[in-house]
Amino acid sequence: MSVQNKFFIFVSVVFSCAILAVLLVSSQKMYDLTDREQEQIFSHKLETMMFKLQEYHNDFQRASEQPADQQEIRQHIIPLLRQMYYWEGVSSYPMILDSRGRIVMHPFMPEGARADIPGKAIQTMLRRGQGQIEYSDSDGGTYWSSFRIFPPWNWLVVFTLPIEMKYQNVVGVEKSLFLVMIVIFGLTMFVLFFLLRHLMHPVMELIRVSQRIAQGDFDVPMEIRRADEIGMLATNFEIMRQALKRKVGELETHKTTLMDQVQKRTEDLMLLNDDLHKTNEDLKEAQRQVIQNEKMAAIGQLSAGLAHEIKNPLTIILLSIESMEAQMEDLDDKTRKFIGMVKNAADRANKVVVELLNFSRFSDVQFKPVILQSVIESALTLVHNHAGIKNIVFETDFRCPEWVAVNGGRTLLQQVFFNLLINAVDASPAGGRIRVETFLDMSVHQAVITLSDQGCGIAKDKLDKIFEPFYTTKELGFGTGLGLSTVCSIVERHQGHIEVRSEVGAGTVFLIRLPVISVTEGERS
Amino acid sequence: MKKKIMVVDDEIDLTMLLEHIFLSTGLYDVVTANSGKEAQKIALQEKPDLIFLDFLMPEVRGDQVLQFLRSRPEFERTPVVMMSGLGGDVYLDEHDERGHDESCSSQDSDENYSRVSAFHEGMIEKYHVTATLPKPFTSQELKTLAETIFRQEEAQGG
Repeated sequence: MSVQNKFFIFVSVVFSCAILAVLLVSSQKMYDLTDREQEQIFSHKLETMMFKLQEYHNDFQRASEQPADQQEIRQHIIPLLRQMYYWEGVSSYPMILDSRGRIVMHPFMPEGARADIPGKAIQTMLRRGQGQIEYSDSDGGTYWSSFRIFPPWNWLVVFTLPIEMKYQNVVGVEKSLFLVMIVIFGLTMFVLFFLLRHLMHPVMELIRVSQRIAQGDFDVPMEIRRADEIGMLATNFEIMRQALKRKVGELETHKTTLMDQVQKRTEDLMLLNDDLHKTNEDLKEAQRQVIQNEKMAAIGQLSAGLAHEIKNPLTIILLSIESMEAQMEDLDDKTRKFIGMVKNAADRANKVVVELLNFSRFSDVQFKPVILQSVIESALTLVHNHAGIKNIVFETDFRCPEWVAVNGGRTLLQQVFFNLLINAVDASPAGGRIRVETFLDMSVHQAVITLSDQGCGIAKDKLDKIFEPFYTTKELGFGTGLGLSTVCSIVERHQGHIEVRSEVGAGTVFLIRLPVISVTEGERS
Repeated sequence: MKKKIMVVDDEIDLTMLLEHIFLSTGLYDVVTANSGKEAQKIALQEKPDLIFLDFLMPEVRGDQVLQFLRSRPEFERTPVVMMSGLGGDVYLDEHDERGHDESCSSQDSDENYSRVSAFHEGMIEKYHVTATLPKPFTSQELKTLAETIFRQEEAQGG
């Protein structure tokens, strides 16, 4: 229940009680006053009556020494009294009873009849001599009487008034008082209602605004302009709201800034992470390179000694067998076959040593400008016969200008392309195509050469190993496993780079990058 | 008059074989030496028309022998074939691409064509050897090379 309703009920209950109390007290007072006033009025009337009767009594005393006869007195006095009291417009009539309660004088009842007053009341009156009494008649009406005994004749003089008549003024006042009270009550309630509404309105507004704020909406301006306590409360509340709004705004800004910072830091960290990753990769690559170089150096030392020690005996074997062949004119087929086998074996042994040497001993070469295209063309010429057996078709697309040169060893570079082309021919099916392309990548001053075949391709797990020394996929006796590692070493020696892409069944592409040297117009011609 | 060929190698068997091969053609006289020092002595004595010189020998190496000979006016233009187990292929210096072609044609395998090693380039530039002959070689190669060199000499001399 709202404060407004509680207050309203409280005030109305209190007010009603107050009105009731006022009504009760005032009516009680009025009844008392009326009683006293009526007593005075009727005492006065009785006094007058007594005085008249005394006068009559005195007259009778003076006229005759003897106490006057009751009957005589009655006949003489009653008409005078009737004349005096019983006329129109008088509200209260006196009546006179004798000591037995029979009527002596009555406005409409005959003399000697029994008065319509209970016997008990008459006895009380006779006993008390004078005073007031209330009684009910046979019809049920309640009356109020003021009485006094006139001792000489023992007459009971009674003024009677119906009780409603006695209090009719009081009831009237009571009614109007009640009406006035009701009106006052209504007006008060009406005023109270508006007063409460006026008082409660800003409170309701406060409630509304605080609810909105609780829901997180800080943009609710308070529309209360008052100079009282509620106005102050509202003003303070409004200040509080604005402060809160500002604080929340600041918090929001802080939050956004923080989030931005976190995001930026994260990005920085990611960049740093990428850098670290790259550095790590570079380090790994450098490490790999170092290991590779050491490996190469070891192989170089080994193979130089090996070659010398093997080549002399091989030469002796070959030349001896040839001399033998020349000496013996009529050789049988079997012997010829054996001689051939010795030659082949020596040849194979030589090939291994040659490969080993070529692989390890190219560092002695002095570099000079070498025309790239002529090197590639030489290699193609050299490979031509070998390829002819399988009907391999060569396609060339030299987009690199004819005069482009690299600083290097001609024979080494020729060996690179020759080895790659031989491998491509070996991998290609009969009638396959081998495509050689060149172009200039001027952004890095490099010539790019690609060699693609439609051969069997290289499995992914083997791609990493193909540049390692002594790794071969060819059958035993057909490859030394040095061809591609030689190629790789030579390319790296030329500050170049070699990549391979391959798909099993689709073919292999080798891509070589070599730094070109700037050739002037004069040197070109 | 028969041309005189000197064969120098620390392998006695090899010098014997080469001697045998050249003599069997009937076209040449042959002298042999089995060390660098011996080669220097015999060369001065015999004045050969063509020298087959092994590169790697103990004590005095082939290139040192050659240096010694080239320093003398009588050997300034004598054709010398440097033999070596270190090199790749036959290489005959003809001052242009033709040299390649000559040497290539004497090979039987395509694969070997490319193996013109840096060793030979160095030899030719530094010591003016006429040709390099990598070990092992066949008797036919040996004979063809000698013939070619003498033919060139004749052509130039003529």
